[in-house]
Amino acid sequence: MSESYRIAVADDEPDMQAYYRKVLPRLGHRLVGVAANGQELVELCAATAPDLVISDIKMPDLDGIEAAIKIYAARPVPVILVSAYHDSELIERAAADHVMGYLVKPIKQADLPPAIALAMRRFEQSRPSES
Amino acid sequence: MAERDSMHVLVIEDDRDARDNLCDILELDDHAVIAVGSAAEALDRKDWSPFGAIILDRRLPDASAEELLPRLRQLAPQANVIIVTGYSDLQGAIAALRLGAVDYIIKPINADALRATLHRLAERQRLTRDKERSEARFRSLLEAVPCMIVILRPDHSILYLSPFAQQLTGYSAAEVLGKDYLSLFLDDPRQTEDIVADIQKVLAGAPTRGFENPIRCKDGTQRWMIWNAQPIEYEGAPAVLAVGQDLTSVKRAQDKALQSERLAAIGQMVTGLAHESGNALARSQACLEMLGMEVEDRPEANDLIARIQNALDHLRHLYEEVRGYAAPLKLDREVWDLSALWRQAWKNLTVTHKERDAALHEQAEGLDLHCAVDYHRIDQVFRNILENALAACADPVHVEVQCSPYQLGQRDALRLAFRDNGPGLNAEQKQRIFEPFFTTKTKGTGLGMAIARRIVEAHGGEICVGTPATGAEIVVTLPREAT
Repeated sequence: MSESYRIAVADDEPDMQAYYRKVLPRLGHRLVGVAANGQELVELCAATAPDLVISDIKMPDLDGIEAAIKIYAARPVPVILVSAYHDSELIERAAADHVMGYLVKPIKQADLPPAIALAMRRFEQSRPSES
Repeated sequence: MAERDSMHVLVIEDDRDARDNLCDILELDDHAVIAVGSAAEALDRKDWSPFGAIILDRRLPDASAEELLPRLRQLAPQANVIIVTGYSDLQGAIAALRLGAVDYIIKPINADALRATLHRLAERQRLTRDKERSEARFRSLLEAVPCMIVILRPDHSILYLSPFAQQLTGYSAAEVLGKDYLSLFLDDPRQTEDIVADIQKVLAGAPTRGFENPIRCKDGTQRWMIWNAQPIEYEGAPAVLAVGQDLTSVKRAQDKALQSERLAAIGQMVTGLAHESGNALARSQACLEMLGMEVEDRPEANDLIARIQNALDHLRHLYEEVRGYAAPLKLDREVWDLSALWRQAWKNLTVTHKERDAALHEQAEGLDLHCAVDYHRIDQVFRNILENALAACADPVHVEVQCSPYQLGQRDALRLAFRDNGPGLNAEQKQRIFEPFFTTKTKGTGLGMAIARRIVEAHGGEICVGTPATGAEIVVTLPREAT
């Protein structure tokens, strides 16, 4: 039932980058790259065409929300945004078509599989003409 | 010629000629005269009230002035007595003065002298009436003014306590007259010296303005007063008149505002701290999980990791609660049946406490429990109260909600008393339960009741500790409608 996805990740914290590198393969997914800011993420997605993006919101340069907009414009892909705290303003900004999920730090390993599955399903449902 | 004050005069004179002479003189000056020839005749009279003056011969056939005077003073205290006497009997006349006569005239009676005497009398009576009227006005002013008015002797014993002051302090005038003001009302004995010095200053002629100090009422409560004091003469002796205004509600509002400011500042600081710590928390979590993966095969290590995880969870929960407490409160009010809210809160709690033997009872007597409230927030209030009850009580837990109508100022409100069958609150808990971070639970942030208070007060309501015979009681009062 659980599929293996090619996932691009963005977070400016080295500890979080190490975490994703370790955990995502454990969950059966392939990490196609880790970006340290929004701009790098946009470029990474252009280069690797991932199935799913997991990105921190607060990053230097381009923030996660802006990056998601750019990525989606270039090529639609589901995005899960990760934030440090509940913020209704942020949620509103993030509640656009392309954002399929929203996680609050600190993330636990157990949080990831349901968030990923849900994001992928939502994305499939939102694209009626694709196979 | 001076204005004539005509009086009713009683003449008691046995000498016919003298009597007639007196009547003529008096009637000429428009006085109303009643003349009698003996003490017996005089004492026969029934109505003594109209007389302003009595002219009495020093030696009547059936009584001397000394004998008659005390009786006359009794029957007509408002009348001034003038003794008619001869030169030879001047001593007797002077003795009569000591017994209450106000003046004497010497026979043969000189009309002008009599006139002058009566005039003087009338003048004095008018002054006395004016003084009484002015004192009556003064008294009614003292009684009407909604200030605490106290008159003290120089030794600070109480001469007067106004009706408002009696109401405010709970003491009746009878209870306090003559007692020492300082030992009765002063809340802080250390202030005694200063106040004694102040009283002396006032008596010396330097009035005090704007002196703030608390007083203790009969029931032990404290009221914060601001005083003006000045020297006066009261009943012929020097005294201190002190007028105090009750500042208690103003002071409470000030204290509340100050506390709000402090809380807001703390809130800001803590929110900032929590925000900054968020990243550190997330990193700790991530690294802890990675560590867990490294030592999967080592049970002791795993155990340690589980404990660190537990501590991290607790830390995170703490930050969440504090952020929730400090964040600005925006209420989303709709009309709800409050019983539905507390029943839901109870249900949610008991689901996570399935092993407990606990029951919630209601006493609403058909009262309409609809109220305009923020569902989520009031649910939080009820949950915090009920959670405390579950934590404090041993099984079987019995919580009762008693509802009654209430008036919050002018507004219709509902009063909900949540009572449990636990050990109750001790004195410290009663006083501090709403203080942020005060907790007696081993696992509590101490914010539950502080948050509840913020929410209830944001609704315009009140929350306080009740005083049941057994168990603990939290009383929540909520206005039915938003302003």
